[in-house]
Amino acid sequence: MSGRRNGWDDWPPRTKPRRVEGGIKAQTKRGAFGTRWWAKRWIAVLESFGLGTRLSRGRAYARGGQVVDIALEPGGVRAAVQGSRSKPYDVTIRMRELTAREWGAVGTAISANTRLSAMLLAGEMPEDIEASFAAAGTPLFPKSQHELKTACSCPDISNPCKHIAAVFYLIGEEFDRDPFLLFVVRGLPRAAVTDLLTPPAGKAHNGKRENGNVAKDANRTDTADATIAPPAVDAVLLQKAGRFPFWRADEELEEALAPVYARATGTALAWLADHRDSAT
Amino acid sequence: MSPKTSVEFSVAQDRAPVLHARPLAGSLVVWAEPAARFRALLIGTFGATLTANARFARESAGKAVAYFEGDDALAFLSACAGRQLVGDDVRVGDDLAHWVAVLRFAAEVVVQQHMLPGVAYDSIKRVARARWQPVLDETERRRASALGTAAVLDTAAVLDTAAVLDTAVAPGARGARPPAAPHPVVRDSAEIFADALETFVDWLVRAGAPQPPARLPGDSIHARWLAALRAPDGTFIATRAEYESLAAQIEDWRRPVVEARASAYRLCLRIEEPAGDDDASERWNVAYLLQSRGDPSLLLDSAHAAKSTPLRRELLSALGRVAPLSAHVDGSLSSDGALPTGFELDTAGAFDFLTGDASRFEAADVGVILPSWWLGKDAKARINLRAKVKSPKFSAGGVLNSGAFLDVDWSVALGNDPLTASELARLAKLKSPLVNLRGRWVHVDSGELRRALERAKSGSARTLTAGEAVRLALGATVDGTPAGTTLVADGPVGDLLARLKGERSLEPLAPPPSLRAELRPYQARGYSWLHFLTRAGFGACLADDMGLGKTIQTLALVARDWEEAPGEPVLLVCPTSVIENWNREAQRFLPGLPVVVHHGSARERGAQFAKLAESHALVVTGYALLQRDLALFEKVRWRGVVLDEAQNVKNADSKQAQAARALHSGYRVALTGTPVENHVGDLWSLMEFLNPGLLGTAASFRREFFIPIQALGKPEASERLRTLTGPFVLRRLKTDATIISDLPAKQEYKVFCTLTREQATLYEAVLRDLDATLDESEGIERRGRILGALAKLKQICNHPAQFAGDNSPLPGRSGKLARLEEMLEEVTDAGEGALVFTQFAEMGALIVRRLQARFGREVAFLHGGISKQARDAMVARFASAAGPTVFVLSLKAGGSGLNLTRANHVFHFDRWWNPAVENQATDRAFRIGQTKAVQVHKFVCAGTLEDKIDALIERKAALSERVVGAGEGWLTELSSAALRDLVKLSPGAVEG
Repeated sequence: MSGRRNGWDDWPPRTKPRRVEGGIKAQTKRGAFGTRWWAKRWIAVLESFGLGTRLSRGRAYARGGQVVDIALEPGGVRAAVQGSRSKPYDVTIRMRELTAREWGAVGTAISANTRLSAMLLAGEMPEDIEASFAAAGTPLFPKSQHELKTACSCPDISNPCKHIAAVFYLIGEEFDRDPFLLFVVRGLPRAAVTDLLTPPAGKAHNGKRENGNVAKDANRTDTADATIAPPAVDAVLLQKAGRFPFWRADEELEEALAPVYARATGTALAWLADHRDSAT
Repeated sequence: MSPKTSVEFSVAQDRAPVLHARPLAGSLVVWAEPAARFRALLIGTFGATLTANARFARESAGKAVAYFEGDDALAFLSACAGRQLVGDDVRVGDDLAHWVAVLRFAAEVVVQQHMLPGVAYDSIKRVARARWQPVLDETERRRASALGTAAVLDTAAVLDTAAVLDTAVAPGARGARPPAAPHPVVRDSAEIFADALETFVDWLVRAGAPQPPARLPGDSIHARWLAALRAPDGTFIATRAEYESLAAQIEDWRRPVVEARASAYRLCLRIEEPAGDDDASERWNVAYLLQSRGDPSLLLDSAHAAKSTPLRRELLSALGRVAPLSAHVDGSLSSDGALPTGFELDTAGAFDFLTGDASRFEAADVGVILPSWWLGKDAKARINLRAKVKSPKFSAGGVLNSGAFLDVDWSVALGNDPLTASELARLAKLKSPLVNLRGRWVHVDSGELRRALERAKSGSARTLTAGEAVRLALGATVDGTPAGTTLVADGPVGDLLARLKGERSLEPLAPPPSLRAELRPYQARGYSWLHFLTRAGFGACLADDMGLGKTIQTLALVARDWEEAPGEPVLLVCPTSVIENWNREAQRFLPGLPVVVHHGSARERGAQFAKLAESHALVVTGYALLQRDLALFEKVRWRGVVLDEAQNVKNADSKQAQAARALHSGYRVALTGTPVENHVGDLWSLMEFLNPGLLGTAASFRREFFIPIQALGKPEASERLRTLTGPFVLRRLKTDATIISDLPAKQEYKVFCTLTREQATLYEAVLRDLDATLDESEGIERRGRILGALAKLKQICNHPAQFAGDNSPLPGRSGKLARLEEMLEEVTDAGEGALVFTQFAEMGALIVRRLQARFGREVAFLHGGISKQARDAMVARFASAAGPTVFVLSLKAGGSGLNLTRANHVFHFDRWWNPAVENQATDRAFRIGQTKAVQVHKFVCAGTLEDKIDALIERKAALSERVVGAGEGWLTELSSAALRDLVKLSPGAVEG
């Protein structure tokens, strides 16, 4: 975790940042930030800039919780990073927003692909999304440093600096959780994403079983009966919600709360059994 | 007549306090009307500990309110669950009862884990609160809207009070922050309900949470929130900015769940068998459907969904969510923009789908429709193990005992048809557990099939005892048999099974010759049934309605046993209050039968006990002694052990239940008048005494029966339990068509009760006083002293608290009251009504107090201080279905004129010694309009003056009319010696 590694060059001079309690700590303790391809792709953009040791410092800042505030908004990101001075530095990262017309073209390209729209609607981002953006003539990820405007209030003349790098890493993690934040940064409000992804009504496969009917299944045998049942798997809703945005605690949310779910089922079952409605 | 002339009634029903409650911002606000001495009321009703945990506040109009939170609030609501009254006479308001119903709903939500962590700002305490919030599915939303629009929430009283309370709350500021928004003062019922549900869910999730380590001030907002979610109390410190950012993040985090819940449809997969009967076709189809969350039987296929943009979106996004879980779904998504309809599987793939994928899909909120044969609902399509019992080798006429060994042929069958050797050979070679056999698809569990085949091959090597065979036939597993194993038997075993299951009636057994009573036809059947089960080595529970004569049926069995095998006694264990009753009944019906009561300080405790026991047919003892004298009882070889009022062993861990199970005896019988099927939790202990092992271990019983039946309301679990226990429980109701014709319209019983030690001590003290004055006084003075002493003795027989007039605690101090409680429990459990007459209004008040505290339901009480108007209202309420089921009346106020035919039980708690007066009171229930047989229970304290006067009247029925009709005056005419003899306490009158 700590200590000086061999092979670090010490320029610019290393100053120890002020310790932050309860800052935003990267969830990935070692290895790459972000596990999904689009998060890695985002980090790759940063790493292509040739920042040298500023990259590893930025990673250390991200893991150490030096980023104290972060906000994604259409067109970019604002963040505050605690450095060696008393007041955190202000960091901004700005990207070009797509025009409504460009978004329309992206939408059309996506709708033509059933699998792509299904995956996107489910919150997954298949790799062929880039092709859809390319088809609309607007790449999803910035291709070069020119398409990305970064700024930091620190004295380091290098841009991007380690503070910008730290923010970049954390955003990579956040994209991992919710890929549509990438769309938000590119100018599409979160609420408009679903509409973009919904293709117009069309035709189904020509299958032999097609009847286009509404079926009333009298012999329904699924689980949606009036009686209640303890779940087969604990804390399903917690899993479904997924990762928490910019998590700032040492404990993992799911790990910490899953036992609470299991215990609650036991408590409530026992209560129900002991207090069966005697009035009916 | 009574030494106390002024009587204060603590129970006046029109003035009984009513408790109200209202969940409010994380607390449960409780208040009472009238509000006087509110804190004392809470302590008296819920105990000092719970009350001490409440916060109290007083609003402007002088109304006191208490606040409960978390576990305390749950304890408070639990104490009110299923009750109309709490404590002696505190009424549960309609609003409070409604909150209990909402809590029950919240518990169902929590069982299903339909909650997520959230955050709320507590504007009263001015602090951030981590909260567990319900996330309802469609079914729950509909139930919630019904609960949230209940009329009780709409009443102006609730809203007004809420408005007052909202402004009156004392701010318990902690970590004070400015409020995010002013707290709304008046909210509509839907908001009040939603807030309450959220609060209850939060409390239930936290219930019993351990106190986590204190958080450091430097901890991040997320760490503080996470700690607060697991703490008993959810509050945590946050700045306004921190709070707002956290709330926004939580909303963002929950988005996937909220979006999924908001959709009106969910994806549903239906697996369809290959068309055609031959094995060759292995093309199974899985169709994509959209299933309405509101009406799960409404299914839309893919072609239908393709026509509408929102439906198309629903289907696509659901498929996208599931694609990572299933390569089949992923593969069905094309890149051509068309909506897929499903996918195909081969038989091996279908098996994987049925076994593994289906449950994973269900966990991911995808509906799965499986064939009924797979779910085991189609018994004809199940491969099962069959045990065919060969006729045991014993001579005709012998009794097949549960311990007898039976030879068994094992085979494998499809439904009811045994499989041929070639079919079995094919099954053994199966690659896939799904096979088309005789034109239908069946599932063959290879492990179970192997075990079944092994057993089938081992032939007669494996025998069963008759007891095991019975269990197998009733649906239990024996020694690792696969579920669904069937048993076929003819001959004596088939006969035994048919009789156990009630498919073949028992031959009626002639009553023992010594029985001095005619058994009614159903009693003869019950006696034959007891005889059959006990002879076959099974435990039997006779659970007939009160008044059908469980006593005489049992005594007939005991007498028959004694005639067959003298020297082997039966041990009968009963509550202390009925020991004397058993003794008297035995003497009455079987005068020659040697019966010994093992009770009281003079009981035989030495080496002679075994000898004494073996020279008696029946040894009667109480539950307390069962445990205390267990070492003594273990020295005797009992023919049988009978537990009367067997609900006394309902707690399997109690010392009494353990002692009962420890006794060695030829057979075991339990008697109870309460409907055992209504008390699932008590059944395990009862059956473990009667037929050990039948219901598995206590833990497996809780898992397989208690929780599914009580908490989840699973009818199939109840059905399985009924099948398992049914053969060993006989319960006849007075209303059964075959019984009612056997019953007289009115039956009278004497109920002999014992005195407690306290009662006996008081009784002796009054006797000493009387003794001293009897010879010293004469004339008017002597008469007065005698009448005064008699009144005191009668009060003591009723209850020491009546004698003392000191408002002291009631339980455990009077044999009569204990017996009345036991009997009324059976009466009310069976849904019947009862009248309780006493000649003392003070005693009536005490009875009402005790019954209300015990049963949590209103007990009507008519005495001389009630106005005619109030009396008429009371009588009308008693007649209505929702009214009280027990009516206590003072003999003077209620002994004549009223029509109370809702009751079919009449209790005379104390005696007037005038049959005409008693009959007139009885006729309040036994009159035109009465549709049931009426039972009259006359309470008598055995061995006291009550007993002696009762005997005197019985002996001289004619005399009683003439002499006793005038009241108790004739007693004063008795000589001192006769009087001393009349009032003296006989041995055996007192509990041990």
